Amino acid sequence: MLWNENASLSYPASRASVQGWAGVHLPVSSGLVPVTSLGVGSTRLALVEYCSRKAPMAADEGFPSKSKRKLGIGLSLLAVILLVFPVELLVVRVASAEPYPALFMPSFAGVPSDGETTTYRTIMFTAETPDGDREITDLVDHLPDGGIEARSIVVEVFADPELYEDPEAQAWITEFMAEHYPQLEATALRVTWLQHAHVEDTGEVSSEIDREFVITLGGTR
Amino acid sequence: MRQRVLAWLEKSPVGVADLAWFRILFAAAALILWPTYSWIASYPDAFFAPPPGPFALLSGFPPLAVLVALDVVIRVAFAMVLVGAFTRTASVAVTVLMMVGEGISFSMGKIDHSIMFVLVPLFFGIAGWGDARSLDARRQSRRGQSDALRFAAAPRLFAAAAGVAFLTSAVVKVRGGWVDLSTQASYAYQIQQTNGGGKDDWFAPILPDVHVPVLWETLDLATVALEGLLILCVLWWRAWRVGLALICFFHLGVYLSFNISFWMNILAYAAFVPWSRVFAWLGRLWVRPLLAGSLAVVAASLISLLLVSGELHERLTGLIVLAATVVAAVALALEVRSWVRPKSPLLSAEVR
Repeated sequence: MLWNENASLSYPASRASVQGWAGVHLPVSSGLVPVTSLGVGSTRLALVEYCSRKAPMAADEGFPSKSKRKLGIGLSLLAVILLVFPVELLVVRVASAEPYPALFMPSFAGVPSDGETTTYRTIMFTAETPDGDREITDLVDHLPDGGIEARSIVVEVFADPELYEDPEAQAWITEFMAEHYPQLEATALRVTWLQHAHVEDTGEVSSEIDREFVITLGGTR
Repeated sequence: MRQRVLAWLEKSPVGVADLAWFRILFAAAALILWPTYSWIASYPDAFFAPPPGPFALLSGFPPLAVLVALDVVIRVAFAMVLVGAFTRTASVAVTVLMMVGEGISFSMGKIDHSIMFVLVPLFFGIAGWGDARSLDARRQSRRGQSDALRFAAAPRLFAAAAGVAFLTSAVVKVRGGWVDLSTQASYAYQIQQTNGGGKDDWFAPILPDVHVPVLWETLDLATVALEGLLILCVLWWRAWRVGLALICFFHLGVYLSFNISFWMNILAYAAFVPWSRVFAWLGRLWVRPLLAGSLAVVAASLISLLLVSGELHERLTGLIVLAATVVAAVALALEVRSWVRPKSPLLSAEVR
């Protein structure tokens, strides 16, 4: 099986998994693998080493076990990432909410339009004070939000009057009002959610009260 | 076949030198822009509404001391990533800590889509972004000499994760009626953002008056197509670069119309920029003293102005979007050039 030409030595390609062995590049396509950089003595030594070598990689047809492991890890991780997709959609379907942590981008789910009119909501705050009602326009600016858009906090914090049946929540809004609007001496905070309809062709906007509730102030934490 | 699959997985558009620069940029931006969490303690547990997932196991918001500690530890971890000290450990830690902070923060009812930013240190920390321009590389001088990644599949896997995230968003849009030709979702959201959300920067105030259904419907379809097809671009790096460039233009559009910057996503995409070549080019610019001096003065003036006006965060995130658009335009131009002149020397070392 030896083929000698120009002081080079070749091995059969079926055993060519010795790629990189002795610092020699061994192409597998020719069927014969030349060893050109070794001298005569070295050639003999190389041959002896080659023949006596158990070559665990040899049975693997040129794909070293290290590469096999790397491929296994890489493909497993890729499979996990791809499997996240159906699992996430299943969770959204079952829980009707977006999970976290999860691979999601902003979805802007749904279309708030029927093709003629776009609807949206805004919120209005009115303090009930001894001197009458006073509209508060900058309440959102005072909400702690740490970089999250304050509007999303508002939606959660003022979504439902039942939240304020909790004494801690009632105490929180009382302290909040006393801290930011001490001069008002408010006894209650009226929350009004307005529903607006924007006619797309004309740009006309009509508004109506979608929901209104009053939070009585006075609780302490 | 296996050899080919492995080669595909491990073929990377960036090397250690690129990722080292990216690590520095990423950590510096994170130190300045990443939100804090101690504000959450201001709210009572009545408002605790965690998303489905591990945070639903909590019974309420953690106490102030825990949240302050979280803020401090995250910043220490960012600083360690920045200088490259125990980079791998710090990178994994920073991902875990950001995920915990975000999970608690999102328990206020709103999920901000920062997940790709959160995952960056995990993927690229393991890939070896600390193996150059770092204290680690100095300590162990053998590192930093090779440009090969330790975990070379990381960029491909990260791209796949981003592709899945966008695909999920596209599917939700399709289900929600974005491809219905009788309604224009992007126009409706524009009205919501401007009139209901108080967005009044750039083009937000004038766009509700631009009621051209064909234009908005095209935007709807293009958005869904871009988000849904990006996953296919993961197969080829050149397609990925084009896809990311288009996504950057998309983010610019969202910024100019909705005034939402998505700076976190954009910084995550920066992982695929060959930064060592960008900085080599900038280095050549730097030797021209007049140009360098002018740039330095302009940059210093801008930052001072923003600091004084208290708008550093807002303007810096906007700047990131605009800078990303420039990078995206250059990337697209290089791609076009490569189609016209396939052997352009600029592109010869593009893909490792």
